[in-house]
Amino acid sequence: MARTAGSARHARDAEFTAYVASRAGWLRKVAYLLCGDWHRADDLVQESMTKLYANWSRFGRVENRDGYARRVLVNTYLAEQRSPWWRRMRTVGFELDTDAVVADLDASLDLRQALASLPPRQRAAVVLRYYCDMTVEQTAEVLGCSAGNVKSQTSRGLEALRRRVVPARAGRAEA
Amino acid sequence: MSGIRSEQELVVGLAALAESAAPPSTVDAGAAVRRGRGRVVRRRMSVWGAAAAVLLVCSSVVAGVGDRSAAPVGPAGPGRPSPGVGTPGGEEDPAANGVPLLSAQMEFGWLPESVHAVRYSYGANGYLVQASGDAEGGGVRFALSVYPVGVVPPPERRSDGTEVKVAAPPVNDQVAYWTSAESAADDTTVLRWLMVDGRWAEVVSSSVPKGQREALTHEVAEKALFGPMKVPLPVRLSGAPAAYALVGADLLRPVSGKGDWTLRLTFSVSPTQSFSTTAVPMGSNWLPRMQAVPGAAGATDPAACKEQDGLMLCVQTSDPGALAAVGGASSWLSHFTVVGADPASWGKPPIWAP
Repeated sequence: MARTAGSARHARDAEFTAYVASRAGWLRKVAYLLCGDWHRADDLVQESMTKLYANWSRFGRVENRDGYARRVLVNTYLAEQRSPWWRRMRTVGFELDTDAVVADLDASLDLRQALASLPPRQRAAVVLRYYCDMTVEQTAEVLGCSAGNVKSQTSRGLEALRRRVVPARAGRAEA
Repeated sequence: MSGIRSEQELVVGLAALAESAAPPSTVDAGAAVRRGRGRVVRRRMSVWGAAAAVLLVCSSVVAGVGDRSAAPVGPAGPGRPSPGVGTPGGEEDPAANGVPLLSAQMEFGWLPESVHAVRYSYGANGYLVQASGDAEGGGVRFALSVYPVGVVPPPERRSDGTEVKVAAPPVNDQVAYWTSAESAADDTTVLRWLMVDGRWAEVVSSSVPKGQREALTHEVAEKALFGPMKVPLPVRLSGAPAAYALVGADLLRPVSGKGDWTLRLTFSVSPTQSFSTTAVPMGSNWLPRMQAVPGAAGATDPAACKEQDGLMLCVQTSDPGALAAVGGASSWLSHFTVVGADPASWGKPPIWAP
């Protein structure tokens, strides 16, 4: 009996580990686009994976596992944004370390900064629609809102990105 | 990319951003298994506990002898006596005999006993000094920050847009106010005060027992220290190529005693190459996974690690070419000198230590 439980747990752990190995890299990129910081992206993926493990039996019954994992990640990110602690941590007056962004190409830096200026749900909508290539309806399901809300969020997000990316580059060129 | 003029340009831009240079991933399937398993156990325990409580109450009611003897869990005891406020300096820090790897712009001068770990971080988001109730950064938390000269932070706002600004007892005889948005779900307390040099400083606390939030937060603020100061580290680095720029450092250490600690240093070699060096004490829960699990990625190459004087030092990189200039991982690690596995040996003890 104990051996059966032990081998079942071993099989579950092996299956989970294989899943993490194959999908952590992809989820990390999604997390990075959501939060704009690679270390925090790691934390988001780590927390999401922990949640997946804790609910592995439910996860095993899901038809679209990747979609479920992505949903857990987005919800983890949004929940964190709502948390007063994280809200405070993002807004305290930390000076930007210019050396730390040396690895960014100009265009990516512009876009990263512009993305960072979007409200969390707008940013999530943009990433899901334009990076994850999800439909309006799929995005609405992940975000738990209406299709109309997704349309307005992405429309406003896209407009804000258009406004912010081009002037930033133009401003630098003039300098 | 010439800006975001169309949806297609955004698709291309996001894809490029997601593929930009990234430090090695720290996502650890093993840690997720351990923590996930712990959550499952706690969930089951709480279900069984609730069931047992229901049974107990039912049986007590039936017997007419409801148990009223259980004492409620009280708030944490008073903090340890203040070690006093002073300016760091004086004693020679043995970890400083090389490149200064991690400095802080602020430091705790006092912390309550419920705090067990302190984290110092430096990276793209600037400096961060946090104290936390458990070794992994959770539980009761305090964070210190200071605003640049001339920046007057606006008070927090309630959901209806009104400002939250309540006069607080002076901090070191300087004007101070609370700016914590009040809501049932919000256990964050924010105390802001003007320092003698004209800058605004802030302590943010979270998950502090309700009856102690203001008192403990104020005490932390009163004893906080500001100004550049070196953070004692378990290793020192010397002889590294100048082109290897330190772009991030993160130390999580116990407030006192020999508990687990972890240090991660991230270096940028070129706009597209970076790598990390981690140091943990041998036997730590945070030891890198060396053994590759079939089908799993992310195991650290044993050849990229070195065990020395009670520490495990490892290099993590997705691009081995990043270390070519120093002759590979093994050669890079030879630039590190171990100060010690015990935080007490790292140099001048932090001022908040008992």
